[in-house]
Amino acid sequence: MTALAYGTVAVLLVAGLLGVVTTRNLIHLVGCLAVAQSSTYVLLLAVGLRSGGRAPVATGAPPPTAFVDPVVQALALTDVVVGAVVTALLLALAIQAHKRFRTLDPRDMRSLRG
Amino acid sequence: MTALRAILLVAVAGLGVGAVATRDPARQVFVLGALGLALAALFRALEAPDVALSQIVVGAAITPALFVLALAKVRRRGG
Amino acid sequence: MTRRDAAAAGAVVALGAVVLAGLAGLPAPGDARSAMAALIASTAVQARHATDVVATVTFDYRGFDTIGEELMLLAASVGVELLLRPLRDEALKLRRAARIVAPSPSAATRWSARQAGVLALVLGVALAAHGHVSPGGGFQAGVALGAATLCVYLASHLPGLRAVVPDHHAAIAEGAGAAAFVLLGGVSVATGGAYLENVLPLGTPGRLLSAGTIPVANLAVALAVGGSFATVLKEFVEQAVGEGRGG
Repeated sequence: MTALAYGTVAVLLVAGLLGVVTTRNLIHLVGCLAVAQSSTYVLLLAVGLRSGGRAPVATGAPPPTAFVDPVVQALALTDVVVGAVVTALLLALAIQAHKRFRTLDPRDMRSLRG
Repeated sequence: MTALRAILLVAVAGLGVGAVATRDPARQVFVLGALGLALAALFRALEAPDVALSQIVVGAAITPALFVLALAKVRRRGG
Repeated sequence: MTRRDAAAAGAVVALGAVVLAGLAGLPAPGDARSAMAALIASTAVQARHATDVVATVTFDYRGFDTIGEELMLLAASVGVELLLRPLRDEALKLRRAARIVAPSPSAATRWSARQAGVLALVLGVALAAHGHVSPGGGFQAGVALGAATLCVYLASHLPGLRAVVPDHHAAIAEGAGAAAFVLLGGVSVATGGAYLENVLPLGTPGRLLSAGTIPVANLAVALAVGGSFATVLKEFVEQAVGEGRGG
């Protein structure tokens, strides 16, 4: 379970970043970045997990120590929402780049090169 | 519960790799949508219903819609 | 794959090895022993009378950080508007002619989108109103309201979207919600407390009117986030189908 959970985190991060550095299409790049970003949510929730722990919502009279960590959940839930708007911002940048360069291939955007 | 978590973790890792390997953005949108839904299911299985609620709407509706609309825009411009 | 690609990929794989080594040092999932988590789990419900402990963390213990998240969201959404606006103005003439390039949605799409839109709207309002007693809250409600906006477009195409979300109305909701959230936090500071500390009666845990300022914060954030997503989605739709041939 440990290897699987943290392995998934590493796979998502490495796969997403590999996509970002090798892609030929800016919109595909934004998708790869979203994959890399999702690794952080899985990591946060995996770190906060307690065996036998329940969702941190009180119903009736629960033993409150059996909750999983609510702090990492609060971090992840806002980040999911902010991440969606940041994706929109990056897609808007891709649209603008396409307007200027008539291509989505970062290799063909000469004036972006350093 | 552990088995469900294991299945969903494998599904998420596989869909993540699949989304990167799908080089055509118009096809990638579908893999990203599936990844978003798998993530929402995984979050619920990890006892995080608040995060799952965020993820299900963002992953299943809003992010795919943004990608499709961006693609529609660049295709119209003759890209 | 070029040499540059190979070098970049090598760097990413090396980073992956470092990350894996770091992850190996973490406690196994299920062994979380965070003292702060234990303290919050045992005291949060009594302290804030919100049965959703995540809501208490988001809008009280972590309140100042949440304001930062909300402002980040606002900044990204304003960025989208700034980036896409000039393109829209260039095509203003075509837009005034109400020329829409995409075909109208089919009857099946319109019907499904109408059902889904009503569901998303109800879900959004419910999540905002019950965020302190059950999973949900302002952020989730905001994305549900954004999804409802998307359904309006799918059900009635661009004219419907323009009628339901007139120019600037979503942006005003976005700004007003964010301002209300920031000011709500300031109220407790003005009375000598910490940022976003409770200033209202706490009520009975589990009731709709309970948890003091948390439901107010949820409503403000729902307005802000919903406004942001409505604005962003509308800008994208205008780009995709609303301006004639484009460029």
